[in-house]
Amino acid sequence: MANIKDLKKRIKSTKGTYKITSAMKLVSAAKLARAQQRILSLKPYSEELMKTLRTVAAVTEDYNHDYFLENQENKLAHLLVISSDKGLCGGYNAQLNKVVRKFIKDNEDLDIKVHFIGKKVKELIQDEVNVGTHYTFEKVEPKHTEIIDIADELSLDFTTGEVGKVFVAFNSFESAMSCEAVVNQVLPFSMPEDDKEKIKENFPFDFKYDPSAEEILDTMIPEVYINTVYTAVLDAIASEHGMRMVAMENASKNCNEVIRKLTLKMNKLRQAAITTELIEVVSGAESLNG
Amino acid sequence: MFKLDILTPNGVVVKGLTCKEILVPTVRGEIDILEGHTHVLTKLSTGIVTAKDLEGKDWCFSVTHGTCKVLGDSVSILSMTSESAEKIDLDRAKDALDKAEKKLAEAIESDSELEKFRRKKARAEMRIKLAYTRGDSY
Repeated sequence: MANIKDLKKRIKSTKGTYKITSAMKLVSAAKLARAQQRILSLKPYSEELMKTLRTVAAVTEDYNHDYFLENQENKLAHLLVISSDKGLCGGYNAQLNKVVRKFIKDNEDLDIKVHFIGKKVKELIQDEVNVGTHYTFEKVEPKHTEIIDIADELSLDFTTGEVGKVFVAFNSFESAMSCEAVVNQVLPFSMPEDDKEKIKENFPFDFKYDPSAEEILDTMIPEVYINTVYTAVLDAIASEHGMRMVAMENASKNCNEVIRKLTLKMNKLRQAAITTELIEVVSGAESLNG
Repeated sequence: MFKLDILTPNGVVVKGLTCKEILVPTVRGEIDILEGHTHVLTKLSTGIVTAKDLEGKDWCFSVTHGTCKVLGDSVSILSMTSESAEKIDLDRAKDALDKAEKKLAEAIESDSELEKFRRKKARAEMRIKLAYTRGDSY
């Protein structure tokens, strides 16, 4: 049976763990706020970009871009997995790993090359898949330009016909409490299917395109593609911090629970020791009197 | 009178700035947008957007590639990056230019490196140009 000294030691070490987990929780909360801010700053841009794309798409007929080309023959594909570099974030990497495995299993006919951002999922599946590039960044959080470079690298292989499809797997941010692992196809993509007539009706003006609608689409489509990849990365970052915050909160709660139980146990033991001692003293005195 | 929005992936540079005139660099030259301009969607080129507000004050912003849409009484510019002249640190931009020029003077073997420093140089030059629009002395 544990003695009081051991229990004291355990309580002390649990208190130390509690300090660490609660500090990590605060750090993650601050990082999450920053990540959410980044998503919010991107939002007006993406909304306006999509709105403009839809209006331009409505007036162009038979427009084709390299990014639209469906090539069913080509069985090679790129998959970019966005995980984290650090652990202690609950099921964040585990759930992504599960979804990626399922995706690879469901698409056995495709020869998938897996590229990674973040090392955690890579460590889990590198022995089973065809590993491509592992992208790292100058600082912990990637800059927009760094994401553009990655996106360009992947799209270059697509436009040259080296691969037929490009996918991105990441944890999509829902709220600070939850995120969902998803695999999205980013290339080839198609124009948003809208009611063209309706858009045209809302555009009663003589709208001018300079130099031409097609040329504008040529610049907009790569931007839309990059924007999709960038959104995925920002989502993954926000999800990571959200998950870590929740995980650390639970850990802190568990620490408190353990501390409470251990303290109770220690107090009981101490009380038992006191009682035994008292009985000894009392019975000693009794025997003297007797 | 119309409203100007400049949006980038890194955030909103300006939203709802009321202006009476805007100069926008496009691939086919600079266009001057006044009230009642035709509705137009055009491709931007790297340069400086100058907006004159109602009091006649000039607001300058750098833009790189993207689009500019004039629709009704709103002008929205979508650019990969954009900076307002007020926020530019002239000394830092000059340092960056010096560094880029020095690097370019050295022998660079890979094309991507060369391209990288060329871009850095162009960016620094534009920032310096933008900073001077504030009326700073040389």
